[in-house]
Amino acid sequence: MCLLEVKDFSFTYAQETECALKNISFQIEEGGFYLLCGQSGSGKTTLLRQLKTVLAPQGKAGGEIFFSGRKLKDVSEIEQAQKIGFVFQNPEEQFVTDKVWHELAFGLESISCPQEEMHIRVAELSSYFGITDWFEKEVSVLSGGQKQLVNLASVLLMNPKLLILDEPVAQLDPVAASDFLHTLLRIHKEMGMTILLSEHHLEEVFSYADRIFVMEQGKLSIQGAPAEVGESLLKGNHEMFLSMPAPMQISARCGEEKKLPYTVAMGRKWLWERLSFEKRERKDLVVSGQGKCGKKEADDRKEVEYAIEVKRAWFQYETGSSWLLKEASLSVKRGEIFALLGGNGVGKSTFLRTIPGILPLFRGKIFLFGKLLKKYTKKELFDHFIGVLPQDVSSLFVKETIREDLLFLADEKEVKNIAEKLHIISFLDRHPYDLSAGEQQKAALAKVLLMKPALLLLDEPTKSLDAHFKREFGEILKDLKKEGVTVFLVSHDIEFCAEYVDRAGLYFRGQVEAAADVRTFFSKNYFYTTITNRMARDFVADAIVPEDIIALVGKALKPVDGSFAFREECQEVMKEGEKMCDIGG
Amino acid sequence: MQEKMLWSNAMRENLFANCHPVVLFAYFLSVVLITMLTAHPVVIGISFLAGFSYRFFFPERKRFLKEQIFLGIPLFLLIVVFNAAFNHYGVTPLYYLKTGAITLEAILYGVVAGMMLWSALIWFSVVNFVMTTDKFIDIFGRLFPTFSLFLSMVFRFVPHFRKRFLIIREGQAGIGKDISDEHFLGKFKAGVAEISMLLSWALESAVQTVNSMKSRGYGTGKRTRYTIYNCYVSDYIIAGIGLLFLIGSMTGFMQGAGKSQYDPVIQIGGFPLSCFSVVTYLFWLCFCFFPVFVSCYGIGLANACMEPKVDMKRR
Repeated sequence: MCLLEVKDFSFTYAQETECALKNISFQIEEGGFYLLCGQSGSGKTTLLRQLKTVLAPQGKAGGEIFFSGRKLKDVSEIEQAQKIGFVFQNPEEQFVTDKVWHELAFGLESISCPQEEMHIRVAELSSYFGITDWFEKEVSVLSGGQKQLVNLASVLLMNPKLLILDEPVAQLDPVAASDFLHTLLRIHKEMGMTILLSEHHLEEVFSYADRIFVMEQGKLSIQGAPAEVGESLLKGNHEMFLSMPAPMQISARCGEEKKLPYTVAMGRKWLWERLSFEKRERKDLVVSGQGKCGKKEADDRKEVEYAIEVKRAWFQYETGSSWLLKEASLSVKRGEIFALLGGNGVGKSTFLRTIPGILPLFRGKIFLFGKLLKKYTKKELFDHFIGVLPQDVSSLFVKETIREDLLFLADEKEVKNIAEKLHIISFLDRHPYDLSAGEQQKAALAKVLLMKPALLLLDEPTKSLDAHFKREFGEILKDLKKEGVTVFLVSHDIEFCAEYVDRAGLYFRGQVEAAADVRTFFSKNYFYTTITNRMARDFVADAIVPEDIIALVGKALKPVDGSFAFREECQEVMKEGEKMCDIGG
Repeated sequence: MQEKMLWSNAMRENLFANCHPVVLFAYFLSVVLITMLTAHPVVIGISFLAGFSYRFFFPERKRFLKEQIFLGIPLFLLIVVFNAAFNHYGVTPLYYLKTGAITLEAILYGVVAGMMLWSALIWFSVVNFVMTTDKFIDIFGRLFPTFSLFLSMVFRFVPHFRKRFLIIREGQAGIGKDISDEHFLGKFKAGVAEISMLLSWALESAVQTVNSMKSRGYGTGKRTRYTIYNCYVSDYIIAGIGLLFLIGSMTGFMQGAGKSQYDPVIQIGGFPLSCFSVVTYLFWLCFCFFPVFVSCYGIGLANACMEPKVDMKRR
């Protein structure tokens, strides 16, 4: 049964001339799981907001939207409030009240639900989601994942027919994001909830979606089942292919065109089939002389200059609270890219913030380039020396537009340069709070880079970036490294770190454990490792990036995207690819 | 250690504080009102002692004691001195100043008024712990649903706003542009920029909240009210007993046991003590110490339940 139908829908924002949505048509069947993907700025949010009248922005709309066979406009507000549930991106800003229970009941209170019924509904839903333990807590003390779960629960309480989620996990860390998406899958499977989810982190949900919509510049360019979408993206040499699950990308780069694997299990099977007999049997293959760690650290014995040295540092927020740094020590060499990985809420960000002295240590010492942190004056520290990208990047902006903010730091020419490099020109003149999360992240990176620091401290730099830009950002980091900049980053993004980082460490119980070069780090781990490693570890123990598998399978036969030019291994293949693009375009 | 455990039990089993908000509100309202409206030394004295002892069922006792010593006592003395220095009514002069006589009546009235204010402050400090925002919102929600939603939104927004300010400051500190700048001008500029950004963030945040409200049907129908406070049998029992004490003491006060006069001569109702006045004061004592009794009973219950566990730990 068709629940929602969008017919030839177009939309132009008021005061703008260009169409934000162009001729969009799709159908949503009852009980389906639909995934809407597209790069940031492709119009996903604009489209989703049209599906609920009260949220639709001002502007000129053409075409029709039908809900349960009726025109959406004719469905009353109270019915829409109940039947179409909407979860927004920002977990915190959706809250209206101060307590969890009040937040849950808010929707029911608004639609005049009688008290007895409210009690029953709230009770059963809280039990189902396991929120009873924090039912009476204040919303501000919950973790990001819990917050978003409360938002989801408060919408589900209204008994919706259709659940729309606009990038619900974009601001969560990967662990919480994965938990949230699994909760979604659970309500989809157990209750047959119809779900329309917009997301660019596809790994988790890709294989479960009944149908995937790909948006591109306000158009719905591709729609179909997961495998089909993957294939047509590949065929169209589409940038969005980079957001597809890693097994799919790896196999495509190895020349596969049809029946691309999209889960780790499928990937392993595929790899097993592709490998020649003797390679399958030999489990001691190692990637040697390949990739970034080829030049084994021969200069280890030489005197190395350290950019950051943290010695036996202790820190807690207030007396009595737990120690987030417990005699933590770490050395980062000058000119390397170091990543600190680790679980959720273990204090990685806290660790990062103690380095420039934003948080004062309780005990212990920090040396920057051999000089004690305390001996630096404030001017020395922040004048072309340290740049910190905070977790909440919007806190970096203090001016009306991004351009003003950047001009505050550098002249026009430099601003133009960096804006081109980071693709932020199109929204330079907008207010920082009007940007999407991904755009904000890019603009913030621009601001920190403009300070031309010798030491970059980045807290979750790849958060809310799409796959395509992540690559470019990785290359920017490498360029900076060539210029002698030291980069210290805290991240959850395993795949990114495996590709672009020199050394990595795991933060656990207030200490940096197992700091090692990135290949050793990931190939030693069983669980905390990249998808490539999970796919290939039975054949090659230390494969951590897709290139390793490609080298194993043989020659990369076909490039997927122009950005592969960065990889030396692929350069030859690239040329073929460019020819193909010429023919295609 | 033992004592600490006892107190933690008391917190958990603070039976009176867990009553229905309406009962609590009515109780505290009547205690404070009666204390403030009578100027009877016995009535105020009992109320003072009861409030003081009940306060010890709640945390931050040391701070409370400090406050009483450094704020309560000075305030009390101040009222006594001022009253005596500026009022010269009464018939028992003790000492003569240039402006007039210091009288026994004025001093005594100062003592009573000071105790009245002091005990009210102590009761408010208790109310602060017992009547959490949730409970206030619940009570007001019964009368004005929209106002209670507004209160709840304010209670969410204030900490939210504060947290945001800290985040902005920290973000700016990370690029060396926060208000800890050495120069006054830099400090000023940074402060202005941060606050203006905080305000535009607040507006932006409000837009998103409004969207979330509209999306969940705000304004489509008459609002109903969800409450997390159920009425238990214990609430009725506590309310019943409390009401009995209240009626008993009120009747006595009406009949003259609560009357007092300090100008021109001191006349205090109920004195010399008669059977009638003693019973009235006993009723009032029970009413004021009612939370203490109920909570002690709660601790007794908790200890009875806790004992096996304590043994386990000792082993």
